[in-house]
Amino acid sequence: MKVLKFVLIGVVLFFIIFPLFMMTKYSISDRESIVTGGEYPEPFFPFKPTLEMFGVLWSRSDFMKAGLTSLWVGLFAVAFSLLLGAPTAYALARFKIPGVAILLFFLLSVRLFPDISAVIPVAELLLSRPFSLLPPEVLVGLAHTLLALPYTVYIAKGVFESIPKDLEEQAFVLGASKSRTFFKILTPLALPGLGAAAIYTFFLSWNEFIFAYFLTFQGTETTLPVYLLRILSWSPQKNFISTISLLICIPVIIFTFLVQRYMREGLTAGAVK
Amino acid sequence: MAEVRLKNLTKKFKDVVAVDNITLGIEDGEFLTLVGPSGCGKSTTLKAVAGLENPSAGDILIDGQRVNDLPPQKRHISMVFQSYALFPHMSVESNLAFGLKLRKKSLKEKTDKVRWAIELLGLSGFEKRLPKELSGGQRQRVALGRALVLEPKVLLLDEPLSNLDAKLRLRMRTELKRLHKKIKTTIIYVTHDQAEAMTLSDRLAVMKDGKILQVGTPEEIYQKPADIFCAGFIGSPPMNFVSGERVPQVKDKKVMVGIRPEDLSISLTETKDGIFGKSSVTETLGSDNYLYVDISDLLISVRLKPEERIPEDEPAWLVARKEKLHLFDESTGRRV
Repeated sequence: MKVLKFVLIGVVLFFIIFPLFMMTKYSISDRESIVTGGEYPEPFFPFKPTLEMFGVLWSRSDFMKAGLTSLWVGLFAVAFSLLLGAPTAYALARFKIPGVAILLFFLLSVRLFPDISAVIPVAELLLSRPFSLLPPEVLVGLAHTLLALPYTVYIAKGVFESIPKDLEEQAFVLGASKSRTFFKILTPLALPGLGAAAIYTFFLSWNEFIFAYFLTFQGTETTLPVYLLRILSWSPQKNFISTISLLICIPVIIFTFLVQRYMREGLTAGAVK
Repeated sequence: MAEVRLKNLTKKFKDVVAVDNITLGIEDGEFLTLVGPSGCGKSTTLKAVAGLENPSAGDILIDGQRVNDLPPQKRHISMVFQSYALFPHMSVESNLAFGLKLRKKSLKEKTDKVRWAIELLGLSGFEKRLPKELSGGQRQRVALGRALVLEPKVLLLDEPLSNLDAKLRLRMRTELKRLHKKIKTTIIYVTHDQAEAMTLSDRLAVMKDGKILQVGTPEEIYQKPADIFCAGFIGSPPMNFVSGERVPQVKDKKVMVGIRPEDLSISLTETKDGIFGKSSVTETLGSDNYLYVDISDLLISVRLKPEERIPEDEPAWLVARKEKLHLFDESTGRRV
């Protein structure tokens, strides 16, 4: 039994880790380890590990530009979804709204379709005037907001529900206005939870391909996942493409380790008593 | 300091009448308690005075001024919530200073006031702590201090002691009473605990189903309850009730006869005018013991002398002090 358990764990780990390993391996491979011409098998580990490709990408302006575009798109998506989502969530959490169930359903509806069918009407709308006049970063950011908003609203609603109403009423009695109460009392208390929503949105945007592709395939500015596809269309060397993949992953991996505790706290926000 | 008048105050939530046409005057500097079971409308009344609930009808006057349309911060009131509602992300000091800051007080006045509250409530050394680093009693005092530094005309307290453990509750009860003697602010206090209401208040208003049944000093309500609910609600253990007929005071009407446990005496030998029963369990409270006597399946509590012990299942005769009998109309519940 014990042996079987370890074998099973081993198999699962292999499936998870092997692609990561291959990606890392190729990214540091020298030319001889990849272009074998069928004369010898590819080595398990590169003959002469090298960081050459990282240097190549560092000096490529199109890669850096795509990275920057991705960053901006992510930040716009975070900003839009918080600006729209947090007040919505507050209203949903605090006031009795008739037909709230239907409202929540419609909020989720865009995620009920496969992205590939949802993207057509969205792209149709965003690529026509007046939206088409916006810079591509903002356009893609808006599309990603559409995708992230349901989650933001749901997370933030839980966050606001966990903040006792007494605190608000107490602030009113002590003389605070509604907006002051919102910014001085509610926002600081909601911040960890809203932070979780922001991180979630950023990752979603960083990772998102379909909407970004449909909205930017004509232009020059694009996000990293779409850039990766453009590169792929020239059938580049494995080490080049793997390095791009790795570089897209690295910020996500580091960030996840840094903030995972914080994120868990945010998602289970109920700690304010 | 101020007087508060409620005139025909009514609050409805959709079809539910939470507060039903109550009229009540609270004198300047008075400690008045709204007491009643949960859901009787006492907290809603308090929130209406605070300005957190809009009355459906009627008027609220503070110092003669109608405040119905004023927001909470313009009513010169302070309120302490049952949950204390301390701001979790602010230190004791910042919590205390929050209201003062909004009133744009000078820095000196702010620090003086905060200092005053910290000393008054024995919170020295805790200024920089966050609410979560305080004990229940300390949190309660911070909440009280935050309300007091604003020098409210009226202080509203919504079950402020109910989250404390029993021992601390008794201590805070005494402290609250002493504090009121010292600062002499008008206080409206809400509780469901009749003992708290009795010990703290100058006067109390007993509420049930959104109505005020009786207003009076604790003695008045204890000695002369206006109706059967007040009689049963105030006093512990509660008054005994027996239904009766053909009572000389009220002809042709069924009545409930009430008698408090301390107004009954017990004899183990047959007594003239005694009602026969069988002794049952004894509740020992230390200073007093209460014996339950079974009179044809009705349990009647009797106060015993501290040293007195009566075993179970003994025949016993109860004698009531006639002048201490309370008579209530069985159909209306009112005192007759």
